[in-house]
Amino acid sequence: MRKLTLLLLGVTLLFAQQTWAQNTITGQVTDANGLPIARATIKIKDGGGGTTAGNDGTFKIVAPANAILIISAVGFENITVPVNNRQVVPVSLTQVTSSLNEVVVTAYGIKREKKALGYAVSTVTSKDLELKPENDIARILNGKAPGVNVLSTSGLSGSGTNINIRGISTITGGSTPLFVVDGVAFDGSTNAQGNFTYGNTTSSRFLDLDPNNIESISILKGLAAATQYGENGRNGVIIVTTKNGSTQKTRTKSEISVSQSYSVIKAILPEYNDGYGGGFDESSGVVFFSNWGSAFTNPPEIVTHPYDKSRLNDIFPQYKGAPYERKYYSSVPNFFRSGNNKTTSINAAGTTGGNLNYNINYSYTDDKGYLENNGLVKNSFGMGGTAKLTNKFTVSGTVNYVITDQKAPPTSDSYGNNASNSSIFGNVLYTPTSMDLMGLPYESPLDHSQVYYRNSNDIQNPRWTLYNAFTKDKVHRIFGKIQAGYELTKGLSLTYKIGYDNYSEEQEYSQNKGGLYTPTGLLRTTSGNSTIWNNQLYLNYYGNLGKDFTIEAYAGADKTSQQYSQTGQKSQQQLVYGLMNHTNFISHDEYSEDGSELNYKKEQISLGVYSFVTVGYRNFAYITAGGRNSWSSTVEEQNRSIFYPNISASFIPTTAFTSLQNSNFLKYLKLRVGYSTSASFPTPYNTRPYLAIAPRVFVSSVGTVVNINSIPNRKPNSNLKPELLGEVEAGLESKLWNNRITVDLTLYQRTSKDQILESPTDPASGYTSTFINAGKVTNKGIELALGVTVVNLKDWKWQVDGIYSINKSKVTEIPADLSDILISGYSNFGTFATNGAPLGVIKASSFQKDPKTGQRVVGSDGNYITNTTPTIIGDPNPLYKLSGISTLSYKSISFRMQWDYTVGGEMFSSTAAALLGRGVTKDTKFDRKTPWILPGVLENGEPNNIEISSSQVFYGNGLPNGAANEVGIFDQTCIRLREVSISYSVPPSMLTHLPIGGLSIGVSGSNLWYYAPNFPKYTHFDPESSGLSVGNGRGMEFLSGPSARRFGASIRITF
Amino acid sequence: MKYKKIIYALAGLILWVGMNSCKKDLNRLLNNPNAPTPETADVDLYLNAVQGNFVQFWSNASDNGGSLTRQLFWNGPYYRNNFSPNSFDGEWISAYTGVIKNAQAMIPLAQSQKKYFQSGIARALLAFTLGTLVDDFGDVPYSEANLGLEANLNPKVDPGATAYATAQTLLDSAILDFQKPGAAAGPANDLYYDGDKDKWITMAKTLKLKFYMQVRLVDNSAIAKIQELVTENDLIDDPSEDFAFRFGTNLASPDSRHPHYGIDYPASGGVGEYIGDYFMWMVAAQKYGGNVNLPTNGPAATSGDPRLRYYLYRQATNYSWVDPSICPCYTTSQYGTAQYPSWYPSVPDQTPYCVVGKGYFGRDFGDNSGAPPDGNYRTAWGIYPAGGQFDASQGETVELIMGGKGAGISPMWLSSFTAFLLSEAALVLNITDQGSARENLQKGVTASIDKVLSFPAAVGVTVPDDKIPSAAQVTNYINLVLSNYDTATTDDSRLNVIMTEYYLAAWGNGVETYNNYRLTGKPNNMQPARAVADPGLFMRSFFYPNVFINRNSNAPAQKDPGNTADKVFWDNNPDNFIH
Repeated sequence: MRKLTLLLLGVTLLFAQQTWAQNTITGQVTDANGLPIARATIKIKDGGGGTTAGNDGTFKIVAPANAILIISAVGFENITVPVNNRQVVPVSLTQVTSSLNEVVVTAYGIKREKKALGYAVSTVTSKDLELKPENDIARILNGKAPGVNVLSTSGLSGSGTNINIRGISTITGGSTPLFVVDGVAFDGSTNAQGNFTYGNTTSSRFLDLDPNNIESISILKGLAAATQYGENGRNGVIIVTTKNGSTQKTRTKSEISVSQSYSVIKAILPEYNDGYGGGFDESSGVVFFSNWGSAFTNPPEIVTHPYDKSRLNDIFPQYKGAPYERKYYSSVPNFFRSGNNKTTSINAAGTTGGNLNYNINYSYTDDKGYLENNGLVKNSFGMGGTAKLTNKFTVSGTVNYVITDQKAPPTSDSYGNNASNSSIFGNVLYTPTSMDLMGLPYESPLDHSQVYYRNSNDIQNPRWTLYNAFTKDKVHRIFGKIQAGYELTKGLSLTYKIGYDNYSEEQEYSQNKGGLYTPTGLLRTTSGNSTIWNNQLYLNYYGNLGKDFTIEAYAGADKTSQQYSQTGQKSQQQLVYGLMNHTNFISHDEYSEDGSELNYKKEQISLGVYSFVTVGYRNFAYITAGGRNSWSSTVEEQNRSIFYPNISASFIPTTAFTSLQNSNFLKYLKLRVGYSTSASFPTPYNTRPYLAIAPRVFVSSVGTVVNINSIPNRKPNSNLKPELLGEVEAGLESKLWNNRITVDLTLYQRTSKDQILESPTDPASGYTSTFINAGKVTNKGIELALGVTVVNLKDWKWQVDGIYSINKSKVTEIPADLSDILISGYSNFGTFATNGAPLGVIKASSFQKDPKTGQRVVGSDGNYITNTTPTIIGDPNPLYKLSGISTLSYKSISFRMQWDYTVGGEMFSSTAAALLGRGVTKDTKFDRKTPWILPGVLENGEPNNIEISSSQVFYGNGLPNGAANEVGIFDQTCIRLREVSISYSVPPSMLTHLPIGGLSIGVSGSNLWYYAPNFPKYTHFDPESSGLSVGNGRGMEFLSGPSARRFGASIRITF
Repeated sequence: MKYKKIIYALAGLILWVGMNSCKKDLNRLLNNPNAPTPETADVDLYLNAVQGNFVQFWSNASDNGGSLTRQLFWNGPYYRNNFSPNSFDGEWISAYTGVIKNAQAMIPLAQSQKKYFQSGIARALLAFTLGTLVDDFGDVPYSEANLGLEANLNPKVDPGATAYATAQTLLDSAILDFQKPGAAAGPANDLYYDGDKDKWITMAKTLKLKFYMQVRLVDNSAIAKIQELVTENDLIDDPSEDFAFRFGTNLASPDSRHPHYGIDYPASGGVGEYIGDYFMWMVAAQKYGGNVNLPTNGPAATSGDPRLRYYLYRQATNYSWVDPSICPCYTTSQYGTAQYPSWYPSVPDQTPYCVVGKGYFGRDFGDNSGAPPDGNYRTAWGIYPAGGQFDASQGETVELIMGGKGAGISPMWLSSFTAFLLSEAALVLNITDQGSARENLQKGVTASIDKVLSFPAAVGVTVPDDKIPSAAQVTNYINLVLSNYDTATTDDSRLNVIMTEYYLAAWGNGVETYNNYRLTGKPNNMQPARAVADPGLFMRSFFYPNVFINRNSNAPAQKDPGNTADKVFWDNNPDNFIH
């Protein structure tokens, strides 16, 4: 280092001797459109000092007449300008495309140079988000940034989505990242009104974001990046800048663009068994649950009509004695329809020439899912603007109004043996192939009650479910902010921001009378209101400390208050069929089907003061240190205040060492390291005792209504503390081989201790549980983004980006008396936190194994023996995930593909197991007469030699909840063509005769193809699904429905 | 520059003041706005919680005992594997967090408000709960259990005898409470006796008698107490004093129907449980050489248990529906080739196998084969005590709204039980103040039949005249029982006649049948297990619940049912004297 300094000093002295005459030079720095660029740095090449331009871009510098000026500004390419004896030097900078001085949006919408950051940030721009056949912003992000995991709960339009970053680091707390839209918090939660067994498809509220209105998304993954947001940022932050919120950028012209897209939505269905029909052990009846009947014949065998039974003969006399052809009816494929999505989006961006910019947009989405009665209609209005006032004030604001209207049939959990509650998929996917689902009535003409083929009518006809069971979710949402900035002195400014996010969400779950699960009918409506107020005040200083040091400092305070209130009612015993109105029901109460209360409110406030300072040294070394003190309203005063510091550094050797500067191979190298902390506060109202009350718990035979008060079963814990998180992160960013290769590598380790756990207690204590702080979750991982410009010719360009993520979690320090903590599912069949195991391992009943050989043990009846005590049967966490994005362009034609590859991880799939166990897919189209011997050993250790029928092999030993649930465990490895698009922008030269400024057209598809080699081939099962609703549970699916393939075309015209 | 400093100072001050006031504001958000504070608790509302939870606790206990005593179906095949420890979680949770916790919170409050009547009820129900916990589990926590907010999370157990003594003390203080002068107004909802204090005193005294009779084998001092109570004779000896919870007909919001009505009378899918074949056979066929005798109001049939059509409802009156896939054992039953298990005594005159006859269709004890789709053929709980359908031989599938619509009762203690208890006391303790064993047996059977036969009217159901047993039939039945008693040659077989009639009268009450079976070994002809010859030692108490063993560091070691008898303190009978 000393040598280097001497060298630099020598160079400076050498040039000093050759100093020319000094001139005062003035100039203005502008962008390509001639608009001023504020605070550009002007330096004289070879050590002659420098200055900073003002906010209007003008500068004044004393320099030799032959000097060469180096001008740099955040977000623009550096440029060198020879003075050439001029007095006035105009400077025009071009915006950064992919150069070293990349700018990213960090916390609070602050734009910072990426090289100064000591942590990882991934950026996704509008071109990767807009005009997609998908409406859900989280699903679009899938595979586009390392460390981001997205899992949909269903292929139904508008269904909820799980998104989490860098694994899940909490056992019972929330794991959804914080959404920040235009600098203020945005509620991305999923307000389900009942647990997964009641079949909700409740939307996740980030669905209210319109992908077509997004300018860019920055994903802050680590705790360091998120400190400014306080504990809410602990799961990572997804910073969304809308087009309405990006009006600070200088503009030269006004522009209106209109886009329209249309796409088709198809369910990806299993291939059904067209060789064998309903029955058991080769029987030829059709009224069986299973499809283990005899082979179809040609011409078809005529059998007793499935609706010819005493129960139905009066209702359907036409089927009495009617012939029924036992053949393949293609019932399930015909049950689904081809859905479609139409999206119209209009955006107007305007300017008055520098001081006032504005943006207005409107978009409309009409999405009809692959099932009737499933759809999503979204109307978004928004506007935003920025005004630079003459009195050093800059004011800006945005306001967005969204109406989201979703509906879907319910999707309860099912195991191929009926569903827990009404489920559209739970009863249709394993329909015996000889059952004419679409050709036979699904309701009684007398009273609309459901009818189906089984003798005791114990399967709810899926068509009845489709037309009689509904979930609806209607949201009116307004969100936006007002921001004012004031420049106190040069480099020092004060900003105040107030953000508001409010929505009302009306949900409805209803079923007509006459069904199997709620025979008297059901109507449950809720109306929720969520409000987030976000106040921020901060000082921001930017300046130089002497010649070599730059300093950037923020100090501020914020207050976030979140309120949610809900009213609701559940009614049963429908009076008149068909009408869904509470007055049309006889009995009413205030509890959801799972017993949770429908009427409640909760409020929490989080306060924080923070400061962080970045000191930069000569553009190659940066250190950021900061801290935040937070206070949250959900714990008692003594545990309320929590301070979390963080420190990070970045170093750019390629700038620091001259020896590295001229390498053609290594253009840029940045090393970074950081340590940061955060906290996770509990949900409100767990520290103080209260009295439980319940009206109308019993009505006596003479109509006396009995109400109660009682002591709740959960013991309050007045000493409940927040969970504490700490994270070490190190990374490397590099550009190699003439910038044609970019590397961004991050390694991290995050520990989260003092987990808030619901500790079960002996009921003899009077309580069944209490919240305690115990247990630790560690997540370690690697995130790598690798970009290669394979071809870079005048007309041809081919860019390949690879994204690799690996995350390993481990649970430790759970107290011995809390053997298992249930995360999701059922207490004997679900995902758990267990010491020494990854977070969320699946525990369920398993097959008894021979301790010597590890083979399954077969009992004397030829069937596997089940071990009912739950054991770990799978780890749903994938080994690693890989995405490859290829962008090939020729002139203005661009062809883009995204491939995702997930390796390892297990999941419980009810769909795959049930389809196999019921014998309905082509996987079981084999000669069924041959007897089978299950692989395994007998109890005496000898190889199994007991013959059983194929029905018994697949049904008796293959169907979950009959056989051990281990039978539903499959490896999730899957390769997927996530997206393909071809777009063409008409060259402006071809548009000169038209009144339009730009025209582009494209075709694109999403989820076009996937292959999960370890699932039964013809089930076409998509492992990227979850039956556990939105939460911390992964890797379990209960006939949750097929995923959807979407493809279509779009056009965009700019005026 | 000075100006600026002032601005900064001011901004800082505003920030500081603002933050502080906000921080104070946070305390407000710690109180749950959705629920009242504990100080607002109301004695009557607490009492409602205690009464309701007691029903739930008792129903759990009754179903557990009922399945072991063949009233309900027991899957088997071995005692060691039929139940898992979590099978008993529900009973434990409803006892401690439902009854005991709320009763203990309520009693001091009631005392301070002079609501002695309410505290008396709470103490009586506490005693019933505690005694039943001991009956079912043996040593259980009580003195360290439920101590409020500062609760000991790991309460130690009290020995069973101590807990039983505590239950007696609770009953004594309950009686004192009921008799205490100057009491404030009685409870808003007395779901058992509708505010009749005297009946509560009678109930408490009967409960004392029940507990003393229960310990008669191990505690000689109990005999004097029994004598005292029998002499005083303030006992439940009239149906109007029956201690029974009466359910309603409300289908939803809230479902107030008898729990077995809810299981047996769904909208579709048929009956959701099996009744034990043994119990049905005992009622319908045992006294008649194994042939089902259905009482009818006519000269044609003059015998049969008059309660049969009230107790059980058949969805089919014959077995014409049988096919091997729905009832595989039928072809090997008494109707087929009679290949019943080799360890069974003769079928069906000594025990049932597979089916009972005339459409009665349940399950054999310990038949662990898979359940076929037979919901539309299973016999359902009838009008008594579940409020279901009266069996008029209509043979129709169950429906959601049928018969008594669920307005049944939980027969926790009936006047007939007192009579059988007095009969037992007269026989084995020679306490005959209220009549001989035979007289009390007759009283018990008569009271039971009266109760059952008058039940439809009590729930507003009219029974077809031709299906109401005639007075002659009732008399014939009682005479048959008495003649069985008279022909018995030993006290043991006399006790068997008494306990058999107690067993039949206790339909819907598995608490007492389980107690009686362990104390007396009667009825002595219980159906053997079906799948295996030797299911292991009979469970003389339940597993400790999972929620107790796994969560309480002071819990005793788990039991080993099947291999050990795990007897409770009042049971000194040999390990293998019942199966």
